[in-house]
Amino acid sequence: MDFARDQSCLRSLNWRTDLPPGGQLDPLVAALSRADFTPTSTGESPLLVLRAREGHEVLIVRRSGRVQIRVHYLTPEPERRAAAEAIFRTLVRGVVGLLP
Amino acid sequence: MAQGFLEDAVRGVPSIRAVFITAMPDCLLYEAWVRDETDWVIEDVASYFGDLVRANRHGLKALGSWSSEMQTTIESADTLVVLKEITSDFVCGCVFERSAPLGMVRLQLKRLLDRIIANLPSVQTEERPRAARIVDFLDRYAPDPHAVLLRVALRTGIPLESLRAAEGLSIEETARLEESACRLLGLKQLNL
Amino acid sequence: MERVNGLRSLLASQDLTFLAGVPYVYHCHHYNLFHDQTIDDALGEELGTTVRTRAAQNAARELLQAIAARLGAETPIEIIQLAQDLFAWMGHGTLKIDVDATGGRAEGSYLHYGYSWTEKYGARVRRAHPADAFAAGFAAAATELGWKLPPGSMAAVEQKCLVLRDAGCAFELRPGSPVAAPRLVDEAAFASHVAPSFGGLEEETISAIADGLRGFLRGVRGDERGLVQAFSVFVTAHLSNYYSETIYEAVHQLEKTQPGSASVAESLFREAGQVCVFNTFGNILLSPEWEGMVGAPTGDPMNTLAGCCAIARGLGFGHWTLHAFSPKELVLRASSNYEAPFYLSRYGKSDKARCYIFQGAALAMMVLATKVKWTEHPKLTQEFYISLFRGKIPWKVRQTQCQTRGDAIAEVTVSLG
Repeated sequence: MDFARDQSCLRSLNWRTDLPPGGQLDPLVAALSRADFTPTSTGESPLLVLRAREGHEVLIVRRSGRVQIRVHYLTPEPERRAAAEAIFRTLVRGVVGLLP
Repeated sequence: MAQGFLEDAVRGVPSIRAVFITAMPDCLLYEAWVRDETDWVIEDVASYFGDLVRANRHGLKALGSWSSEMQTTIESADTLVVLKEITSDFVCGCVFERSAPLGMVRLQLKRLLDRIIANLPSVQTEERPRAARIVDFLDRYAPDPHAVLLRVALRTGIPLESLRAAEGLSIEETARLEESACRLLGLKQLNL
Repeated sequence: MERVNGLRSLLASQDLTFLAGVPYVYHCHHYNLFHDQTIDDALGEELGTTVRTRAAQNAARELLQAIAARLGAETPIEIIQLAQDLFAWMGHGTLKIDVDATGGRAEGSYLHYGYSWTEKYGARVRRAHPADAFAAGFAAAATELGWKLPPGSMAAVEQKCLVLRDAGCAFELRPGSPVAAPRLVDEAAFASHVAPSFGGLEEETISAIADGLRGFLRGVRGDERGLVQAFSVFVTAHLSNYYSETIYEAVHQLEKTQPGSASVAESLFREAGQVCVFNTFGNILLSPEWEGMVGAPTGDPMNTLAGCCAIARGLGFGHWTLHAFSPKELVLRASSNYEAPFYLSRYGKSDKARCYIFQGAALAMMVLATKVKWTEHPKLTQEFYISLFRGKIPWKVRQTQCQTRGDAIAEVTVSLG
């Protein structure tokens, strides 16, 4: 899983990774929930949105596995990358947990 | 220019993050190399580094302590920047990782600059008309540079075609152009 | 503000959107800043600010009056509270208005124009005049309505502004000179200046996506700052009458006083359309929301063009259709847009085409469809914009039909040379 800046006109707020193809999302959502992320979208929505208490968000496109990490706008700019990386690590742990 | 010569020049310099070469006196980007994906605007960085070295030179001359061997070191939160006027035509800005030991940086810098200097051409600068230099300056610093000539044409009434060939502008038109440039940039005067 | 959400309406076959019968659209900060900047370039900062403030006051008065009537807000306190809430709901920031019938003060924080200007340009450029004429006009309109004063009887001036490196924004409101209210340009006026709706290429796809986008936008509102941060830009629900009044007042003024400069201003307003498509449309196409709803852009020109037409409709720009496309030519037709109805209602017929945003947007759509490698996740930076648009475009855009000139529909043709 790569971790890179995603398109944004607002500095360092959006980051991107892509889930390995074919994985189940439910266990990944469970892993994010354990890290205090709460789903805010409905179960059938094509876009899964989870929000952390600090306001950071993880958006997962069901059809493609694209993930966008949105760092909350009140996070000072120099700390945005680190905040996104911490969420990325949670995602990676969640994905690794899915491996056989 | 040897295409990609910076890629070769930085080989074996592990702590280097970026190199910017700025053509002087116009402070325009000549060549750059950046290691990682960033959202830096390399033209802007090169211009600011050129301006900084020029201001540094003026300041040191005012103190009577300038010499052509001077270099400027800036220690920021996550980078170590070294700026050096490597020839009369070029400024080189080297951006290192902040964690790199200063002694190691100096050692690597010397080797790096030698390789860069060997690849730079000698430039014959010509004194360009002030109007052309103002347009260049706007191109570099104005918000929305893609629209800047249209904006100046609208503000000054000078036809767009004349602004595209700014070296032919009259003294009076040049004054209007300069006033408009100052307004667009929020400056009292242009230091060209 | 949920009650305001219920006041949205759609002239469905025309893809025009209204709030309590007042036309509104969505535009991002890139467009908004470029738009206001062009007004000031055309008129100078002083007159530009006057024209922008007056247009904001006219448009906001129309909106506040309509909403207050429908929601039963009557007292000064109710109307001022409504104005403040509405301003934030629309994504324009936080405005605190402290006034009586003789004027007073207003304070702004996170105001859309000043805040986004600072974010976009603040590190590069110093600015000498304030940025928030829209907020100034909005506060003046709220004060007039609150105290049942005639139009123009309150004047607002921004005295402190974030872009001037002040800590926040502050406005002084004082008695002005009453003027006759401009002619209302509302839903009924718009409806009388549109052609019967028609379809084009990819019609079903475009229509379905536009519906989906409108559904998404119904959930969009200002956050605790009063800003809408969506699709990686700052978005505003904005009054299209503000855009149109400022553009046409500026162009008319130039046509009267400096005819040679009018075409330059028109070029810049076309460029504003390009800026809008590149930034707003581009960011929507690259967003995960779009990918979830429609799928990632494929890079096929028809996919991009259909997406752009759907976005235009979803944002309330009117019923834009794809009439013809080849790599040499693009023809867009519209039974409606938000420019022509305003022009016809306010000024009557014109002797030339006047839909500048539609024109610039069409050119930008051609460029996005044929020059951008969408599957490679491009970054929509200023450098990329310059590489696409500056001096390298082989196409020219012409508005070949315009309702302001008496044609039945609007049509723009983008063709080589």
